[in-house]
Amino acid sequence: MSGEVTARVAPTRVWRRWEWARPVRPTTRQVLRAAPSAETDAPPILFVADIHDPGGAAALQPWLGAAAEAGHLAAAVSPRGLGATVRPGPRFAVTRREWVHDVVQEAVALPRRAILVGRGTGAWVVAHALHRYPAAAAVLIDPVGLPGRRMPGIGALLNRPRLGATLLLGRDPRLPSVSPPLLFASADGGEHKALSALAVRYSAQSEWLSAAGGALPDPAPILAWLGTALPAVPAGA
Amino acid sequence: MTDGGGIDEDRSTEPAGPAGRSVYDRGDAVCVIGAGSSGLAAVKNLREHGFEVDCYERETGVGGGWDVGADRSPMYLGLHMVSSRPFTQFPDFPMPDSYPDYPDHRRVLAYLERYADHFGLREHVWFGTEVVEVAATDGHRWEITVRGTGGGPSRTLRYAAVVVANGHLWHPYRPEYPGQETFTGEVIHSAAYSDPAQLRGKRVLVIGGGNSGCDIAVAAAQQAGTAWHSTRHGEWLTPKYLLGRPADQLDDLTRALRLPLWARRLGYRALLRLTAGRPARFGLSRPTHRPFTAHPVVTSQLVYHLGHGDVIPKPSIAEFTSNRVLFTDGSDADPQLVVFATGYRPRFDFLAPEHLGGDEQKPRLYLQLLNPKRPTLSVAGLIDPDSGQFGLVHWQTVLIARLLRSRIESPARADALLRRAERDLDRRYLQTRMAATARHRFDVGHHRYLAALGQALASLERSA
Ligand SMILES: Cc1cc2nc3c(=O)[nH]c(=O)nc-3n(C[C@H](O)[C@H](O)[C@H](O)COP(=O)(O)OP(=O)(O)OC[C@H]3O[C@@H](n4cnc5c(N)ncnc54)[C@H](O)[C@@H]3O)c2cc1C
Ligand SMILES: NC(=O)c1ccc[n+]([C@@H]2O[C@H](COP(=O)([O-])OP(=O)(O)OC[C@H]3O[C@@H](n4cnc5c(N)ncnc54)[C@H](OP(=O)(O)O)[C@@H]3O)[C@@H](O)[C@H]2O)c1
Repeated sequence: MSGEVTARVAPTRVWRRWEWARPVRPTTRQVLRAAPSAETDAPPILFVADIHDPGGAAALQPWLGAAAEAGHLAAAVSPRGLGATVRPGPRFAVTRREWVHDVVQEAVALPRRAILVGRGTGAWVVAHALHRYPAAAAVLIDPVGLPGRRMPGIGALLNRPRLGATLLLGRDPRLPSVSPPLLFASADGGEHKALSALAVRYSAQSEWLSAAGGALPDPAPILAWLGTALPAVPAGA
Repeated sequence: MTDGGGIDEDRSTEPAGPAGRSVYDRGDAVCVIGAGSSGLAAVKNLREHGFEVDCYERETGVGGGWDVGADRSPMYLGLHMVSSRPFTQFPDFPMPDSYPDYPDHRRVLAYLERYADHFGLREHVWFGTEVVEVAATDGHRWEITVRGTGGGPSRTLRYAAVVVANGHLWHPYRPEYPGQETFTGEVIHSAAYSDPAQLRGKRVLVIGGGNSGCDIAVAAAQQAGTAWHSTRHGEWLTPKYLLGRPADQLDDLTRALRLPLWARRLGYRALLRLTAGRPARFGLSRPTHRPFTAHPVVTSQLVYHLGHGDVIPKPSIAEFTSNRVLFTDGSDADPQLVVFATGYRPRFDFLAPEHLGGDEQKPRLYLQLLNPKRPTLSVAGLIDPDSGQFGLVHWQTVLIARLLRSRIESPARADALLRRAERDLDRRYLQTRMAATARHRFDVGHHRYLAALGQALASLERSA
């Protein structure tokens, strides 16, 4: 495969009738934060938890620390129904639209244009959120819900049938017409091929992360990539 | 990212203005006039499309009219939006979940300031700097003359394109009535009304049944000694909430469910009749126009105060005498303060009207933003939507940025859009025919208008 493939770009959707007619209900989200010891110019990072992360955003605590150490103001969010974020109404009826809303709400709450980093279903939501928020960059770690990698696991699907149906049958996320630097990353050695295929399809780059047996992978390669992909980030700071 | 230096000395190439003035050539940079909500969106979207931007703002902060403290602001303390959150916000920068359905002016200003900070827009804005002239030069470039509002010499800079975002709601429109010059009481326009305290204890007459007029009549009911409200015809007074949700969201629900216009009208009339009742009961005249044919007037409180006798409804004014105002029904009033809430007219002091394809009052612009003969000049925010402003202006400025990009990268597509613009110059984007008054000249229906903007965007996006 060559790098010549151009990614499919979604037409800009300006009409959002359901957004106007039935906006997503507000909720209070669980957000964990970490700040670097000194102010830097590095853009803030928002981590989005996976449906399997125990305790939602709390599981991403080590990433927050690593990002803060690298000079990024960092936050991690649990979309509604995960971790300590409550979904108003029944939890099983949660929709992708609500999750995208939760991610964008927390992205705009950061002081500057943010980098979105999602894991698992979090990556799927980030891919969709790129149409709603002009992120500085996006990193999709072990994404599900994208072509070739749809299954998040049966248990998770049965728990949230509406979300599950969208994951399995919904439209593939496409790139917005002005799209930020994008990175696919995986800690799963067996997934090399699928991931590089995705990276080609989305004109993105890919990285392999090291993780010891299902633990949270080490984000160092991601932070290093951000350093190269974002010209504005001064080294060290 | 890049520095926003607009008037750097080292940029001063070729001092070659017509009268020997030195002109700083800013190369491919784009000039944005005004840092209100429209100007900010323009700066952000132009930056996102790779342009250098210099924005000039005569005030000292961002937010335009929403900065109630600014002298020229047409807004006032206690103002709440008439459009609910999902319609008003920028689509890519939603208002926080903690905001109410109808934020007040302080929250809106805070929101615009956060927008500016989040996207790093302030570094591209020259505050306290007024644009005094915009002149066309060869090759579709523009010479902009700016001057510090504190005085000082003026400077001229050359730009590849200009986005005018100066707002159309700050130059008051004030009708004249017979005998008005002999009237000894105080007369102000709603533009000069900024604080309900101005009304306290006085006998106040408010003229005009638009959103400003109704808001000020309500404030007068609460603050003034006596309050009269003169309107020249009946309005459909939409309450802020209907069936437990913001009225505009309910209306859009009926559209999302694809109810035809006649059914929506029927439902709307029935709902108003069942809740507020007949206008005549409150001394108001019956609207003679059909629902949705005039810019929406949204007030829950006016009817309430009419019902409590805190506001006395009056018809049109016949004449003023030295201390009284006579109405067309023969009644009169003796106000100490008269507030003209009779609306605003656009003004482009710095720009020859022919660049807008018509005159100042009736510009002829494709999508109300572009004169196809002048593709590098556009106007952002010259609309009065039946929903909120920021969302529509966001897409206007995305279109402007994409068009400017296309002119560089795929001129054929840009030319095709300009041809379409010629063809559609006089198209209006309304859901139905509007009452034909000057007040509705810039009205757009958000569904139609966005559909047209979306089409224009798509025509530029189509893969090569
Ligand atoms: C009382 C009132 C209530 C409103 N309520 C709502 C509402 O509920 N919902 C809604 O969506 N909209 C509402 N609006 C409409 C409101 O005008 C828009 O929301 C929006 O603020 C318009 O922004 P703008 O940037 O186009 O214009 P403005 O806010 O007027 O900003 C224009 C800016 O350009 C600057 N400028 C002008 N000329 C020059 C020059 N020559 N050189 C340099 N700078 C210049 C001005 O100083 C100003 O800062 C309301 C308007 C009024 C008057
Ligand atoms: N709370 C809010 O969010 C809020 C508050 C105020 C304003 N706004 C917005 O700001 C914009 C301007 O509103 P506005 O109320 O200041 O102005 P407006 O909508 O233009 O209303 C002007 C009013 O004055 C009347 N009028 C005009 N000329 C007249 C004349 N010669 N004699 C008698 N009456 C006359 C008009 O009646 P006719 O209809 O007969 O012309 C109309 O009722 C609108 O977009 C509005 O929605 C919003």
